[in-house]
This record gives sequence, structure tokens and C-alpha cells, in this order.
Amino acid sequence: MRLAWDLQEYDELILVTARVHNPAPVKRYVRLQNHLDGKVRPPRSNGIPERGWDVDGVTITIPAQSVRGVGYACKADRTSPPLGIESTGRGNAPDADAPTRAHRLLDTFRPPRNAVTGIHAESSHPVVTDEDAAKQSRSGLMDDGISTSNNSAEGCTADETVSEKRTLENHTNHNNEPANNEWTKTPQNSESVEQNRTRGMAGDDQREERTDQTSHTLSRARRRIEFGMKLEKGGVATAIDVLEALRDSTVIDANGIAGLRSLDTELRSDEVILEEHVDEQLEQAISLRKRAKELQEAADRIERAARTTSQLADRAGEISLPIEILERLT
Amino acid sequence: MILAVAGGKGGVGKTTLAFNIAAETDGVAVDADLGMADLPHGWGPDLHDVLAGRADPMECIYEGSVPIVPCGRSLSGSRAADLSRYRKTLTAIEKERKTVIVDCPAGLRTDVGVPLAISHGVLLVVTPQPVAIADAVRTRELARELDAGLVGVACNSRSETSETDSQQIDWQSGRQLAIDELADVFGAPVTSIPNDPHLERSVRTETPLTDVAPNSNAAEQIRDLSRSIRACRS
Repeated sequence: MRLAWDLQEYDELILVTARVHNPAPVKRYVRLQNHLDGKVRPPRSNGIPERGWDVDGVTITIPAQSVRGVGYACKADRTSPPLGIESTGRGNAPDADAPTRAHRLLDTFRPPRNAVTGIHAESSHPVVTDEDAAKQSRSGLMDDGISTSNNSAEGCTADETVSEKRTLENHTNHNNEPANNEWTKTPQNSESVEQNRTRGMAGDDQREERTDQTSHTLSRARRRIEFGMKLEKGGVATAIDVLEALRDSTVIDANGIAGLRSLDTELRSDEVILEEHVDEQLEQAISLRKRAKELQEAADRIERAARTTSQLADRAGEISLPIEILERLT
Repeated sequence: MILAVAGGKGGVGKTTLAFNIAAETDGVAVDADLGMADLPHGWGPDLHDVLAGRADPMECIYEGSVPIVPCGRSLSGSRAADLSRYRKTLTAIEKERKTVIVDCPAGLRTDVGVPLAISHGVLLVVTPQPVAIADAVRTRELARELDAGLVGVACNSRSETSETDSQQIDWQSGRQLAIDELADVFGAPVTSIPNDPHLERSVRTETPLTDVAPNSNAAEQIRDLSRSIRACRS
């Protein structure tokens, strides 16, 4: 097998073309491995990579004493040689079964870990294969115009959107949490106060976690609002700069006019989400006030009990039994 | 037979058709939308549980008016799903129930590719809008790459009197294509499913169209499609 290659650069993209010659009198296959530091962007038919291609290279069959050409694009720095022969064999290229090919061709469907771990995903022991992990790390394999286009950017914003929605969901659930309702009950004695205090500490942890999520949601909404205000006030003169900044941010998932429309939609959605947060924060304040009042009452009771105890102690100290007199009598 | 109902674009009526085809072919409809399930859900285990190795495929069949394998709706369930269990799951159901209709999700990711790769054939669902057709063409290409034969193409949401309307320009979604143009695009006969309010409600009310409106045009088209599917099975 003889390999000849050529390399052309177009901006940041490298186009690799190669010719493989099979001088043998029999049909053979060859595995060509990409050496460039980037994922292979293979030739496609209706958006689907042609058979034999995967993220690292291609396996092709070459008829006896024939030459076959291949080509692919790669976003990477120039390296020489850009590809090499990894293995060869006699006959047709071995073909993996269809589900394996599906795994090689397509990006993973899995929701990102971050979208789930904020809640209690770890307890569900998600099964993530190495292949899936690799798929996630190289998201953007099919970023040339098919429905999974701009995966890296899309993945990022989609994650955040899901995370935001879960945050909201979490907050909604939070209003009905039994742990919080515990504080609305009047403590019966000091023991129950202690139990409630312990529960309250666990609740505090959860609340802190939720506060983090809320602040994340709010900070993203705040950034979108800032972009919106700049676009509204600055007019056409500064619109291009603002749109560029918007494109570089991760608060929306589209560019240009589409990004603008997306921003408009997100702002409408932010309005609803923020209003729900207002309700939620007011409810939290009421709940905390109730809790403070109950704690105050419990503290007052304990103080009263302490005063009684102290009086008893004083009385105990003041008592002087007439032991000697009674001894003399006996 | 395992038949994938796919189309690339969301909202074209894949679930509705999968449910009604399952009813007509005495099959089991499997909700394979691991991220956003559509088919009705009972109280028992679901496809998430099966793909996570927590349940047997047969115990997930919800025996409603149409047998359904529902899918969970949680993100953690979706993450825990191991697609390598798909083959065993679908073939186990096929062995017991003969026909399995897999309602694939939208998009072109592994959650579509793996069921397609396991299926014996694919029924493409489109609407006449160019954007839906473009997505369906990609799905057909994927099915071809994964050796799933094209059993048919169903074109949803076409009004019964729209043969002339279909030639009009729709500025919102681009030009709609006539049935024969669609057949040229896909290289296969296209079955036009006319709008029918009973059809739209069928999944929600769990009543197949062929039961509530057996004489409607849409029911006749669904029976036609089901006959083609049965022919592939035998």
C-alpha cells in the first residue's frame, strides 16, 4: 500500500486529500488515521457521514492494483504528515454492526451531567460508557449544517437552559417541602426544638444550594436584560458591537438577527421566571419570619424555664435544715 | 417485525401515527423518546428502567387500548439509559408480540440511530413543509446507512381538499410540495394522511382512529399503511 497526500489550508480549516495505491493483485482494505489535532469532518451524503468514516479517520476497500482517493476537512494546525496508514488487510473492509455504526456516526443523546447533578442525579447512578463520555467530549462532530449543527455552542447553551428550568422546578417544589413545613409547627418542648433545629440545618444546606442555583439563573437573566437595554438604548450605532458581545456570551443560543429574536423570547421568558422568583422569595421571607418568631417564642420559654430553675437553685441553696437541733432531740 | 417511525423534525405526528399503526397492526408501540416522552404513561416501570437494567421489557408493557411501552420523563432516567440494551429489549418484545412500532425521537443522535439500526424497516413521517422534508431526507439517509429499509412515507397534516392549496406559496414555511413531488424526493410512495380531529386526539384519549372513526379518510390511509407494513412482515 502506498499513500500520497496533499494538504490545503482555508483560513483555520485544513483540507486533506489522499490517494492510496494497492499494488497487490487482490482486493485489500486500509485504515487511514488522522494525525491532525482535530476531529475529522468527513464527506457526507444528505448530512450523514459516508460509510467507513468516523471521528478519527476512515477504513476503505481498494480493488486489486487500483488507486482510491479520499478527502476530509479538519479544524487544526498544520501537521505533517496529516494522516497515515494504521492497518491493512485482505478483502473488504470489516464493517461493524449497525448499532455500533450508529454510535460512531452520531452524537450522544444524553442530557449533560450538569443538567442532572444539580438535583439528585448522582443517587441514580447514571450509566455512562467510555464511548459516551468520549462522544460528549468531542461534541460538534456533525457541525456542518445538519440538525446537530454547532454542537459545541448548542450543547453549552442547552445545558444551561435545562439547568435553569430545573432550578425553577426545584424552587416550585421547594414551596411544598415537608422540611420547611416543620417550622410552621409550634415546638412542644425543648427536645422538639432541638430536632427541628437539626432539620432546619439540613434545610439550610438545601436552601444554600438552591440559593446558588437561583443566583446563577438571576445572573444570566441580568446579563440578558443588560444586553436588551443596550440594544434598546444604543440604537443602530452600537448594535453591531452589542450583537458581537451577545454572540460571544452564552446567554442565548443563536447569532445575528436569529440571536436577537432568541434574546427577545428569552427576555419574555425571563419576565415570567423572575416574577415567579419574586413570589418565591416573598414566601421564603414569610417562612423565615415565622421561623424567627417560633424560635423567639421557644427562646422565651427556655429563658422562663431557666429563670424558674435558677429560682429553684436559689431556694435549694437557701434551705438550711435544722439537723443539729433534731439530732439533739433524738 | 420491528418498525421505526422516524422523521427528523419534531411535531410532524410521529407519535400519533406510531400509536395508530400499532393499533392497526396489533403491535406494541414503544416510546423511544428518552428525553421527552409522548405516549401515555402508566404507574409501572418504563423504558428508562429497562434500558438501565432495572426491569424486564415484558413487565413494562402497559396494556391499554393499544399496548404501549412508555418512557420516563426524568433527565436522570435519560442519562441512565444504556442504548446497548435496546436490541435485547426490542427483540424480546418482538418475540412475544410479533410487531413492535418504535416511536423515535426527533433529531439525528444516537437515540434515533440505535433503534433505527435495530429496526427491520423505517416509516418516515413528514409534513409538506420543506424544513420537515429536509429532516426526513437526512433520516432516510441515516436509515440507509444503518441498513433499515424504507417501508413507506406518511405525509401528515394535509387537508383533504389541499391538492390545489399544496401548490401555493406559504411565506412562513416555504412552498409545500404535492404528493407526487414528495414521492420523487423520497423515491418511495407517499401516503397522505388527511387532517382529522379524532386522529389528533387519539393518543391523548388513547382511542385509535380506526376505532372511533373507522370510515374516515384518515383511517383508510392508516389501514393502507398498515397493510404495507404487514406485507413487509410476512
